[in-house]
Amino acid sequence: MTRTSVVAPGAPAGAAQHQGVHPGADAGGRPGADIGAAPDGSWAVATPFISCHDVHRSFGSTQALRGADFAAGAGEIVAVMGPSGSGKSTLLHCLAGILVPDKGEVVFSRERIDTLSEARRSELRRRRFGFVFQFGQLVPELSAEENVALPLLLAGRPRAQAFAEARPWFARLGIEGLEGRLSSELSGGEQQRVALARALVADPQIVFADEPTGSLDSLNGEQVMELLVDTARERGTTVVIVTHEPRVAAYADREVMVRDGRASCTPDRSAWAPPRQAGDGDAA
Amino acid sequence: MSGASGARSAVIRLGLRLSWGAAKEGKVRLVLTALGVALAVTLLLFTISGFNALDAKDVRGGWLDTSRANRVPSVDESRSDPLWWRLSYDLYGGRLMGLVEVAATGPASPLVPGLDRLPGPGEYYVSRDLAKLLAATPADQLGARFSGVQAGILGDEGLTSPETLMAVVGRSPAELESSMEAFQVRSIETAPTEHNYSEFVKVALGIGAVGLMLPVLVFVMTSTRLAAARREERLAALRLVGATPGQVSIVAAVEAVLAAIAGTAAGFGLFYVFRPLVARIPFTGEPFFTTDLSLGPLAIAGVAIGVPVASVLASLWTLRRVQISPLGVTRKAPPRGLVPSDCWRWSWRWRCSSYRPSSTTRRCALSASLWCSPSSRSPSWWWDPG
Repeated sequence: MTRTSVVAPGAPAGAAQHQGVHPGADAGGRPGADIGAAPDGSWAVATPFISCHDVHRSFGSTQALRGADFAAGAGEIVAVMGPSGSGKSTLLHCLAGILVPDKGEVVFSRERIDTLSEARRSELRRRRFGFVFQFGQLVPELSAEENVALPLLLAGRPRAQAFAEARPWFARLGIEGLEGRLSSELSGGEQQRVALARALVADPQIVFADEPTGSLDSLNGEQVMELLVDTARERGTTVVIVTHEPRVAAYADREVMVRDGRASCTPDRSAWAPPRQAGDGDAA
Repeated sequence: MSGASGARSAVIRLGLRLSWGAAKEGKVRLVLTALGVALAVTLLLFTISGFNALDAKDVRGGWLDTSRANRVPSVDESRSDPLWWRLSYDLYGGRLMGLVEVAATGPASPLVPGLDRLPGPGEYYVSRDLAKLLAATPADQLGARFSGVQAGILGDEGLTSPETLMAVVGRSPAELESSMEAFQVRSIETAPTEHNYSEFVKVALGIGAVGLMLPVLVFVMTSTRLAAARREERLAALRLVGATPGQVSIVAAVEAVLAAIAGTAAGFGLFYVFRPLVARIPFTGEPFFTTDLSLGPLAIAGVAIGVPVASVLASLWTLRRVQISPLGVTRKAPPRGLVPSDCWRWSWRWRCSSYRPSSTTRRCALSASLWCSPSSRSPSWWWDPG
């Protein structure tokens, strides 16, 4: 497998192989990506696993995204940060195929997904993406176990098999004993762990997390983040986390700042200090 | 099981699970929707059975139209013996009483419906209600009119209603020969009687049923909107984990069909429970036999299958107007066509503008304006050439 690596602006090409090794890239069995410097000095992923280019998205007269660029390598954990209303959630929704950009393209595993049909994008979400949102977005009428097995059931997996695959996640995420409880009866932290199990049960290639700790206290937030990051690293899953909390972003390999609908990225924090260059705030 | 069919059955199961396992508001919605469907089905079944009862009543009364030339003879007239026949009506206590006097001229004289033999001279058969009346009334006031002995009870086949007062009295041919109103027949009429009021009652029944059903349907539509936000939240959550729009439609349709099936079953139950009571309502001046409020197999199958199917179609149609995305539900605006309110608005804007159209244009616009106007305000100033 190719390792994900980051190259500083102006560094020799070979530096990528021994500098800035992505911590989870080896374990997941995913194609890797090289994160390197663009000619203009900004940071870029040379072989992105998921990326978007010049994405515009409006809601009525409000322009949420104005030419956003983003790229994440396989196994990379990227935090998308920005102030409220900056467009970071919209960026995540466009990357996940939940929203279709008005303009621009979204590429996942070398395939444009913004042009796919609704059914194909649903299939992508079911088979290759996982989601952890702020309030869990669990189905309240279903038990925790049923919620976790949901992506598998929707994919046509036999019921017994789906539940057999769902059950181990409870022990793994420290919520054993809650399988039969209705999700509406769970605490916020428990719900978020169930959501995490649901996001990971189908062995997704990317997990999209939108303010995953937004509704949790700091202790539960940390626990959820540790579970998410540890599991992702262990499985080589790419994670895109939208957050406005630096504490959460600290778990990521790299941060992407979104301001006024435009994104800019910082390099892998494990390898490099963020470059300080004028004008890099608007370019990805 | 293939993936697609496995997914479909899983989604149907999920729909059932979500419907049964719904929170309190969801259960209330399900129960109220089922109740509304039950009421609508009950009304529908009573309407259908009402039509059948009117037809049955006309069939039962057909024999009283017996004449020398019957439209649908009860027997082969070339092989039957003539039967002297005289029909008259009498009143007792304000109630109409039918009296059919018959005199057989041979063993092959035609039989009256509701009897297994014709009464001989000095015998008579009476309807059940008339028999009760005879038993409760002094003979000189009522029984004396039949002059003879009661041979039995006239069966329901010969009665238009369970409360019909009817007597079939046996006479000798000589007794009837001399009567101007008596005539010989070779068969009994079996064609339904042609009452003008039957068609009128059917129309009235139909209009009444629609009038009753409309508020029930509004009730059903309102009840389906209960806890809609929570339902939509749930559907959005399903979309988030990868349910396709089709799968979400199945989940919604399962809930609708569940309420419809429960409502339809309850509707049939209510129909059979209340049928004896409804049969007693004298829509045509007298009550129906309970069995006349009947449903044919086609009607039963039509309602039992049609109502759930219609509810599924309605559910899918409703879903066409909303877009369920993983982020929530958005309602699609209906396509904007030319609607009267638009015409009115446009014409109003035009009036207020400084534009002065030509005379012909003004006439056309005025016509359109009047046609579309929600009120009948005078447009007199419009003609002012200014």
